[in-house]
Amino acid sequence: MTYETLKASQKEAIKILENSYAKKRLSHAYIFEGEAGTKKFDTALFFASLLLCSDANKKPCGQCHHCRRIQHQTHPNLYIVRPAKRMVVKDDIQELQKEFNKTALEDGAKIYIISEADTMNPYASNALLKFLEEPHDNIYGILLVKDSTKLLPTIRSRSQIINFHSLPEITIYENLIEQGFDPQLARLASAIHHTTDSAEAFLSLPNVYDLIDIVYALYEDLSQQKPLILTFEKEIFDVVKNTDDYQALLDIMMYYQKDLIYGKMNHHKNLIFDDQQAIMETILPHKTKAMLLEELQHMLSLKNNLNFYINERLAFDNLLLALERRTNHE
Amino acid sequence: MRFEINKDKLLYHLIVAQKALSNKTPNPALQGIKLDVLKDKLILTTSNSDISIKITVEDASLNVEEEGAVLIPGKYFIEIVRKLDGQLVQMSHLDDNLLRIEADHSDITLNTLELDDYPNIAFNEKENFVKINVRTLKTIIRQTAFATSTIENRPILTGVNLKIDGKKLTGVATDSYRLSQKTIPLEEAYDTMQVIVPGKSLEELMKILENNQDHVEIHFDQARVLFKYNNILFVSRLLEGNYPETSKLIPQEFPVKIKFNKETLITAIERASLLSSRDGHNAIVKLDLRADDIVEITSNSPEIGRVLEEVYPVDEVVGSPIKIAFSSKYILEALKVFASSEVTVNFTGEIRPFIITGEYDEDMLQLILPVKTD
Repeated sequence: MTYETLKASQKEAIKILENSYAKKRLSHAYIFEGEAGTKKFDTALFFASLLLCSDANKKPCGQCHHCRRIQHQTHPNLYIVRPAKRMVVKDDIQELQKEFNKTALEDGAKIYIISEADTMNPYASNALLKFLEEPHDNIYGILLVKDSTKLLPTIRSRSQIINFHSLPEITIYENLIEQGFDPQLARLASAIHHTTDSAEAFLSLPNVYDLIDIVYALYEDLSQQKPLILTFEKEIFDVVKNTDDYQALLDIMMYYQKDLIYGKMNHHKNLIFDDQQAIMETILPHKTKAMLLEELQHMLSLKNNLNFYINERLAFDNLLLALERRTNHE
Repeated sequence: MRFEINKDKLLYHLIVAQKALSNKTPNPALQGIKLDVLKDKLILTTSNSDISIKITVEDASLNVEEEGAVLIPGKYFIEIVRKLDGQLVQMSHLDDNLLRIEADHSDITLNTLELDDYPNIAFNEKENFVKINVRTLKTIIRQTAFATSTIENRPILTGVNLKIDGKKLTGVATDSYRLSQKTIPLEEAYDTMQVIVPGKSLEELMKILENNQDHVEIHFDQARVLFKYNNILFVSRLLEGNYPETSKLIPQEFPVKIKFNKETLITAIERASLLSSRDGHNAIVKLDLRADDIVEITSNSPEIGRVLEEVYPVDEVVGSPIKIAFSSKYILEALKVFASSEVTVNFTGEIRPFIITGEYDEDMLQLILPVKTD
């Protein structure tokens, strides 16, 4: 991505960085907060280029040896931490510290980027905090997060937070329709994802139709009072293979569940799965609003727990059992 | 790029360059050897980011037909050159990312790495550099680097503090339980300067320096230190921060002084540390100076057994009886860097650090903190 297109999509964030650079009022640490796909990482590279670019007239030029290596992520003064598994752990931060306790291989600023910094576990957070407490000259850190409240307050207070705005749902929807996607799929994808890119990526998953079919069949069986676990044993094994699949499946289920809740409240506008109304009607009499909300809560917490090392299959079965509950007065 | 060179000469320099070759690095370009081919010389550059080596190769057998630069996967390149037959090896750039190596009956093409991703390493020589004898430099490294800390809790202690003050160069290393210090005289006076060089970098440098009468130039800089040795430039990054003030830790008055034969003391402590329930390297041994001026070295682990060694000091003992306990690992490592065959152990008290000095190890001291035992 060129810096021009980046500037167009994240005007405000870029402006803040450029101004503080021009006024020499840089913070030692920045938190870039925004949904996935809001170009936080590209902006972090832009910031590194701003600091290291050798073109005095037009910083960052994107052309010089510094800028080129920053884009290739091979610049020795640029250190990038990415969670190896699902979270940033203490070892990652210690490696970072080890690197920054030494002088730079090349002259100029040193920059570190911690991607998905909100997945830092407590040990990693405390190690990072200790590192932030002793600011070194010419070292700048950028933490990329979806939700800055998941960081320690003491880390937040030592950093400048820059917000990255996501596109409104309707814009993403329109973009997807323009690309020729089916309106219902576009509604679903734009509800789940906050940028056109990630929504498109979601719709391009090879098994996205299978996942939606599973959700449909699941609620259909629920309406017919079939035991969900037995029915879905095979399908889940064939289609849902890894954590990402479980995440996507849960995303779809959550919006189906939301439609159910809207249905319970007789709010029939803006439904995503409007072709499922017949099945929803047969489920709704057996569920109270509180139950539906509780089920949604269950899905949310399961989605959150998927980030940790849990037995996914077992946790999912647990959810299915919870969904089978009905009101007693039949 | 196209040139020809004697294979053994090339291999000799490649093996030196290999010391800074990185096999585990986020930047794949650092797995490469950068080869700059100029009219009458080759320049080899390697770096693992902590240390970087640049070697200028000028040899009668070198015949450059076309200049150029290329980044070659280091591991494969060295192994290929090592196994080649014949006297001469010929190398040429086929296109942007292929290197052709020809020797005797072999014809090898190797995919090259992206040269543009290679860091721009400064091998800046300064006007004011310190010139010292290779052996002296090796001595100072050998006598200090071992005492650096291996744990990263206090990163600064993983380095050796090199200080220049007038006509003296001092190296200090400590892991906070023991300290080594060696001072050497310089031929000229220099401006005061100090840097903290990672112990690991110095150990790599040791492997490159040979045992000869050549000189090494040390070029100090705020961000890097450069060692120039014949045709080799060796750059190390430095540790940032302030090195703890160590001079106050070293006691000045020693009421008790005992002189030992070094080998006798080493073997006695080694035997005493055999029967330790802790792992053999970290056994605690006790030293007891008796009223009859004979020293007892003991260790006792109730579940294994007990060792008592009597060691006779080689000279008259100064001071009154003393009992002190310490880690056998620290004292053995310290004793082994002495060139003197007789060493003096100087005590200030039973729970105060003691230092070891040797007659033929001028301006060198090894300090060890005792261990408290009940």
